[in-house]
Amino acid sequence: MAGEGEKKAVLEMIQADGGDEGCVTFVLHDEDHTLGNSVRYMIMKNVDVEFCGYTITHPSESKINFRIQTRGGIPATEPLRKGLNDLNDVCQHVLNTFQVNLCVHF
Amino acid sequence: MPYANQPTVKITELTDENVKFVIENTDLAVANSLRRVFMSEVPTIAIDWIQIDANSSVLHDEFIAHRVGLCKGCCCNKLCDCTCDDFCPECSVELTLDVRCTEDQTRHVTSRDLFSTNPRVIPVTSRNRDNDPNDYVEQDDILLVKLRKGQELRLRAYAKKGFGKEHAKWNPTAGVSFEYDPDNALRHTVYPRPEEWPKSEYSEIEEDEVQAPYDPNGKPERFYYNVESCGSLRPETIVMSALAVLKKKLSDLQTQLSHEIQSDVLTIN
Repeated sequence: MAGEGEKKAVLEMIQADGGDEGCVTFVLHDEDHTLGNSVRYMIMKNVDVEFCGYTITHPSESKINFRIQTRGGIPATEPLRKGLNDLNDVCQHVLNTFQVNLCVHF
Repeated sequence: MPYANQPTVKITELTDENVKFVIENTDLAVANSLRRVFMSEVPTIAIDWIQIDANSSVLHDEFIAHRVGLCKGCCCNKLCDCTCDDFCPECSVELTLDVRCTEDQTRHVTSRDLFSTNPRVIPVTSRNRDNDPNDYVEQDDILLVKLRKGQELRLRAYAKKGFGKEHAKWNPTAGVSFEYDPDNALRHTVYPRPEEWPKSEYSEIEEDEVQAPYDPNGKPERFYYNVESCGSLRPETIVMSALAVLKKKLSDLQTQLSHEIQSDVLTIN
């Protein structure tokens, strides 16, 4: 399990039943709507994902429960990894375009 | 990338305090995340620890501490996040203030009186004044307290790096204006009387129309931002730092996810 010593786990996986890898709830610590909503949007665009949603368990605690259910027996970590990758690429693209725009015009 | 958008960015205006730009071809969720990161996750420097050695002014200690903490610091280099318990030169800057009023007229104690030991980190407004001594610039130093004859204020403070989520003093923006669908074609807002509301500067409809016709299949696509900096960072620096911070959060999450997957695999086997 991640998080030994004083290091706090940033991401935990909770699986309800033993067999089905397609339905997983991730607990993300120290996160809020900033990442939750945008990652959810990226994952929802994936056709294999049957359900994707996040909740903030309580506003005093900064952690979110992020649930992914896939169809077709695909492990749920796949769309999460892909969604994070895609969001990273979008940010990189925006950064590059912004810098180019800055240098060219100003 | 099959699922990733390729958003386009167009900067419409850039001044010392503002940057106005438009992002197209992305989604509301991503655009909102950007706005949130501009305000709460871009690291800046502000005073975090203060020791008041003498205070005979009319304001009490914690009042002055609160005001001093809200003075923004600007910095040319980056302080690192070090893991020391106390404040060391790697991660913090010491500032001192020592003012005693000896004349009959009221002495204004401002952010200009805060002296830092590191010349590259200074309270915000001092820098603007030093650049043009001949121009008459409005006194824009931040007023902390006013002293009468015989009153004094002496304190020591440490400034640290932090971000807006922890306390608003670390928020680099004065305001982030965020707009989409200026003519309300998606009807995300329902006005009781649309003709009362002034038109947005980005409006694209005729003078006599009040709202664009309803578009049931539309999605928010073009987002207009106006990021106003409070002076501690340049506005384009805020935008670029915000994007870098967002990418770092995502890559941290990705590393954590791969660790989790690996540890899961190990426990099963």
